Amino acid sequence: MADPQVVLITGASQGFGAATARELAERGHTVIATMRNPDRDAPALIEGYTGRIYPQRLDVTDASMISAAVTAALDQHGRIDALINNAGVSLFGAVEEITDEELHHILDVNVVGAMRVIGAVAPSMRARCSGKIINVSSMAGLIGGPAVGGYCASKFALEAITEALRYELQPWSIQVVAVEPGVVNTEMLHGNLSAIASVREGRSRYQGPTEALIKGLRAAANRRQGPRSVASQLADLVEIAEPLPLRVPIGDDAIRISQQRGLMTDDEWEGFLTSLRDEGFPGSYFRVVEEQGVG
Amino acid sequence: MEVAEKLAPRVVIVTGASRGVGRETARELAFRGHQVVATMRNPDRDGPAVVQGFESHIQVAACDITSRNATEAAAAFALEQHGRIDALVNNAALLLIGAIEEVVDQEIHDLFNTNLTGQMRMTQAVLPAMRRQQGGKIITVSSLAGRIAGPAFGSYCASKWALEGLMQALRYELAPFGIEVSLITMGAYRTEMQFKSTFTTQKLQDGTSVYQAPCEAFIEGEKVRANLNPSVRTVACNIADAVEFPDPLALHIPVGFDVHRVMPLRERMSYDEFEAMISGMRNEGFPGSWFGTIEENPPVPVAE
Repeated sequence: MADPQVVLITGASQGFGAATARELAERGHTVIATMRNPDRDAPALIEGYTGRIYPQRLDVTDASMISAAVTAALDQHGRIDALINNAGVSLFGAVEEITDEELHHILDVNVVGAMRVIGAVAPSMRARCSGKIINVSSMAGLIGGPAVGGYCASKFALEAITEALRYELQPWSIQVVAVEPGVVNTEMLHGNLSAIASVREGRSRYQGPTEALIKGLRAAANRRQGPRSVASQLADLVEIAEPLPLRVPIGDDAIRISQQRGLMTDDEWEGFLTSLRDEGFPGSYFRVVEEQGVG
Repeated sequence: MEVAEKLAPRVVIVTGASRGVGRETARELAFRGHQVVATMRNPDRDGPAVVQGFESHIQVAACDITSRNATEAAAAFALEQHGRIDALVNNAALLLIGAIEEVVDQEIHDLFNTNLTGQMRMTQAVLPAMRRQQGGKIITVSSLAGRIAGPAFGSYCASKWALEGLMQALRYELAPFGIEVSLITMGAYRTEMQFKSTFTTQKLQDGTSVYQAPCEAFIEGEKVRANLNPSVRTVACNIADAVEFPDPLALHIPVGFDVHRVMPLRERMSYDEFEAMISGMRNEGFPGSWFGTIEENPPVPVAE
C-alpha cells in the first residue's frame, strides 16, 4: 500500500477536482482542496471526509493568495507530496472572434494559473528532493479543432510547460506529468459562461456550427462516463512508486486519438478529422457547416 | 447545474467476483446504480464482503466456469432475476507459474480450462439472450501477458494469447447482432492473483525444477511488486466505463501506465529490438527477476 501522501489539488469544487479529492481521501491520503468559493462549495465536498480533505480558498489568478495558501498548507501538513493542477476553464468560439480579454483570461487560469501554483510549491519539493506535479491537460492539448481554438491553445501551452518542467525539475527528482482526459461528463461542459461574447450575443459569423458543437459536445458528455476513472487514475499517479510517464491519455476517445494522431501524417489526420459528422467534437461543427454553410 | 443524465441501469454478470478486479468491478457497477450478478466458486465464504453495502444491487451466484451446467445456470439466474443481460465481464482467471519445459498436461489443461474454455463457456451461455435482445457487451479481462510473453509464466501468456485470438474472432461473428466484444489489456495492479489465484508446477513445488531459482525470484519479485502497484480501482472504473459507454468499443481497452508504455514500443519495434530490451531488464518482478537470477547463477550443464 502507498504511504499516505499530502496532495494539493486546485479547482476542487466540482468535476475532476472534487472526484479526485474524494478518491484520494478514500485511499487514506491528506488532501488540500483549493477552490475559489469554499463557503459555497466545501461543505458538499468534505462531507464524510473531515480530517482528510482540507478545503482552502484559492484563486489561481491571484499570486498572493496562492503564496499564502501554500505557506499555510506547508505549516499545517509539513509537506506537499503531490500537486495536481486541475483548475481550468473552457472557451467556445471561433478563433477569429476571440477578444484579447477572453484569450487572456483562459490563459491566465489554465496556463499562468498552473505556473503560479507550481512556482509556490516547487521550492518545498526541491528542498526535499521529491515530489510530483500532475497537470490536468486535455485531449484538446493533443489536437486542435474548430470552435475550441482558445481552449486548445491553453492546453497545448500547458503540455509544453509540462515537458519543459520535466527536464528542469529532474535534478531534484521532482516528476512532472500531463494527463489528457477525453470527453467526460463533468460540470465544465454544462455551465453557460464559457462561450465568447459574439456567440453569447448571437452575432458570430460561426454561430450555427459553434452552437451545434456546444450542443453536440454536451449531448456526447451526457451519454458518457463521469469523472470516476479520471479521479482513480490521478490517484494512481499520486501513489505509484515507478517513474511517471510524460503523458497519460484517459478514456477510450483520448487513448484512441493519441494513438491515431501519433501514427498518421498531418494530411491523413486532417482528412480523418474533417470527415467526421457524428454528434460531438468535431463532427457536429463540420456537419452544420456542410448543411448550412457559414454566414 | 445539470450534470449527468442518469444512465439507464444495466444488468451485468461479473465472473470471478470473489476478490481483486472482479469484486471491485462488481462494487463499482453497483455504486453507479447497475444490477450485478457476481459469480464466484464459493459464495458462502466470499459473497458477503462483495455484497456489503450494495444489497439491492449485487446478487451473488455460485458458478465455477469450468462447468457448463454452472455457466448456464448463472446466465439463467440473471435472466430470471432481471429479464436481460446487458453485459458480461469475463474476469475469472488463474495464474500458473513454472517453466514451459516442466509444465505437465494436467496443469496446462486446468489453466486453459479456466482462462480460455471457461470464458468461452460463460460467453456462450449469455449469447442466446444477447442475440434476442439484439445487443450486449462481452468484456473480457486480458492482460499485457496477452500481447507479450516472458519466462516463468509462459503457459499463462499462452492462455491469454489464445483468449485474444478467440475474442478477436468472436468480435466479427457477433457484430451483425449488435453484440460488442472487447478486451481489457490490463497492466500490473495490486490484485490478489499473485497470492490467491496462483498455482505453481509440481516440479517447483517439489523443489526439483531446473529453473527453481529464477522461478522463485520471479514469484518473490511479483509479490514485492504487487504491493507497489496501484489498487484495482482504476481497472474497475475502466470496466464500468466500458459497460456504460454508448459508442462502439475498441477491440483493446488498455488499462495501466505500463501498458501505455509497453504496447507502443512493442508495435513499433522489431522483434529483435523488443527482445533485446526485455532481456536487458533487471528490475524486480517481471521479467527482470528472472534474467537477474540467471545472470547471477548461470545454468551449468548436468548429466542426466
